[in-house]
Amino acid sequence: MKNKKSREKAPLTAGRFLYRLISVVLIAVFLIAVAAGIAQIRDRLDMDDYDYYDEAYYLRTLRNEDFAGLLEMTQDDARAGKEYTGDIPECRAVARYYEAAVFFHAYEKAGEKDRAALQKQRMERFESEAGEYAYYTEKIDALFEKEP
Amino acid sequence: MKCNNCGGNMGLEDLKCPYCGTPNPFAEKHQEDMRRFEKEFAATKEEVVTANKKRAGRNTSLILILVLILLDVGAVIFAGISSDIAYSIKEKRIQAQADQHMENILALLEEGDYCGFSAYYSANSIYYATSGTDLEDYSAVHGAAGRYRWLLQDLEKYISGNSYSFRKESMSRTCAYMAENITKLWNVEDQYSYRQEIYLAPDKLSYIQDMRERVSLLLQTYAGLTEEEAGSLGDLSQGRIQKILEERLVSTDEE
Repeated sequence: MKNKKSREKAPLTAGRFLYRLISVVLIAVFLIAVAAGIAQIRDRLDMDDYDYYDEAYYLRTLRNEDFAGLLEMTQDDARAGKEYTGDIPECRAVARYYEAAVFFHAYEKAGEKDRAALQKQRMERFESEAGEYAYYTEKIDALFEKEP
Repeated sequence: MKCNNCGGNMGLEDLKCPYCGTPNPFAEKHQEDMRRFEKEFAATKEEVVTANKKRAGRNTSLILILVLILLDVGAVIFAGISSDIAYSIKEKRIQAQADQHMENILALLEEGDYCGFSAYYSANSIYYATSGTDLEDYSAVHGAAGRYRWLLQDLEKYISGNSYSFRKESMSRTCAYMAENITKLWNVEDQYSYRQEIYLAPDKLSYIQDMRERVSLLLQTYAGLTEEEAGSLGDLSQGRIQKILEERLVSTDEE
């Protein structure tokens, strides 16, 4: 107890002040560097886990009739093991319909009947998978009626 | 020592002679000296102990500062290599799923879904961890698929007629980008000239060739290229391809 008291009462000399200051600075640098390192690792790993593509984003793109954007989104949203919930599978089916239609019309025009028929089958499958959004397939078909 | 009175033996500390009781004149002086010596000894001891304590305290402080500096150096190095640590963790995660990725990738290639293949690579950050796995063998196919995917994305935007990329002000830039992707797709072999026997094995080349055929067909159908132009894309310069595209693609402003 005596020792403690005498220590507490010890005057704050210039040397002791400098020692405390250096200690505080060094501890602060240590904590900041460790925190920055951990944050960096977490950010890099979280970047992979972040899901940009939610149902609202899909629906907004579909309602804008941005079929190319929808297809791009459908392709990019390809994380292994991801489960597509809500209306996302239907939106993805519309996108796939558009992709198949692009190839169908190209093969048909080139007279490649077998390949065209295969794409037609895909279109029919995706149309049935599009559920309540199947009417968008008519809008997609209309795109190909225009002469390039 | 001897007693001055009786000549009997007595010690320096004896205040009186043990035989005749005569007072010992040296004893008092001796005890006084002893007390003084003890006091001096205690003072010196205290001085030494205090000095030692001070020195030990200073040494402890210096050691603590040194330890903190070392910790700081370690922490700064840790912060500096934190990206590498994160990539290493990522790489291990991906490699742990390499078999599943390989299965999914092969399924996409078999379906001819090259855009899906390219997107799957990106979505699962597979390019971080191909080294030393079977996935590495598909590097050239992946390189080609990336160009194919970007090219198709532009064509699909053009077909949907719903993109800023094909307005007058951005038409030239979009055509330059498409021409670059076409040139890179047709010259993908140049980028994988090392380990050709693996990267450009017949099965891999057949995928790349299929992508080129599809692009030729789509450009004929939707960008108005002639059969001859579409068939000679590999021989045309990037600038020439860009010029052809600019001539044939109609800006969405004009529709």
